[in-house]
Amino acid sequence: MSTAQTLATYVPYLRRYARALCGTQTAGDAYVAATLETLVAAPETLSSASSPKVALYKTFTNVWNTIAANSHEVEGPGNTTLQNTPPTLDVMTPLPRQAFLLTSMEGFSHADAGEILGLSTQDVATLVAEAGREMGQHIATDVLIIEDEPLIAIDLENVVETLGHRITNVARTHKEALEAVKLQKPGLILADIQLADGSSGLDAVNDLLTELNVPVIFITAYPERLLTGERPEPAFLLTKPYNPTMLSAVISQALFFEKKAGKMAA
Amino acid sequence: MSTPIDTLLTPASPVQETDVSDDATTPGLGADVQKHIGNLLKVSFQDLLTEPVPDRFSQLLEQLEQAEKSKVK
Repeated sequence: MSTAQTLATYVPYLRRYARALCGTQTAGDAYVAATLETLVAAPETLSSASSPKVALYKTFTNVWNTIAANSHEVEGPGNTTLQNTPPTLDVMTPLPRQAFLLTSMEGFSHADAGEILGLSTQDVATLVAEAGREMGQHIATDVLIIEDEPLIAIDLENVVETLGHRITNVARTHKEALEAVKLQKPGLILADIQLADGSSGLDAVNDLLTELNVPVIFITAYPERLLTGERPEPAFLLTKPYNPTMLSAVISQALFFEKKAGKMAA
Repeated sequence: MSTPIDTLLTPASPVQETDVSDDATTPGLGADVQKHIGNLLKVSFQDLLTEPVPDRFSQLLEQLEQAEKSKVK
């Protein structure tokens, strides 16, 4: 297989990366085309990196850095209308965004990502941590917990606060949940389904969602009650006993992908 | 109306360590969560991996192959 044929298999992945990095397919493809043009003009570039794939992404990075410096408009949030790039991606600063996408979406090692970005492995680790902080800050929100078991409520609070969110309230019943939302509107709801006084967290959430439009994560030992009941969409479901890391992932996922543009900090 | 959680915070309470952040003092999404979101992004862009590559790219790849061949000769 020639190097060009090898590269052809990587081009769809580079388009994906470019799409996520630039915000639109049109802008992303323009950079991918410019990358290939650069390689046609200087094919020896391909053997200058540890692998053809790294060379391809490295050339893309050089093109992106060069042209982005001159035309910022291609990466503005106004150009995200084609499809829905998560807004959190668009607000991340360029280097952390690149480090995050290269490692977590494209699956490059820190060493390869460093080679692609022209940075050390340690620099990449620093950028990945910064990416985590930027994403965390952007999706940080107020969380209502509907949970009647005190120890589980405490555990949920720990996970939520570790991620940088604020707890608005811990409601133990349907009635308390309604009262809590009157006092302060949350940006995310974590809800048990079976509550202490026999009331239903599912009913409480359905009531709350008539006035709120926020992601909901149900955490229950009885998932079948959610599956058979009238459930809100979209909703996430975790089964007790839950894994705290999985809970962190689902909370972050819900906010990363569900965050409404209108709620973004200006 | 809030749960009196302070009364329950005894030393024996099992505060679980979450490995979501490399730096516990700075809230942020740790490696596991980033990987999870990265995987979901892959899913959301999955069409790009199955749809045909635009003609412009095929032409450029063809040119690249020719450029390589002429370099070898």
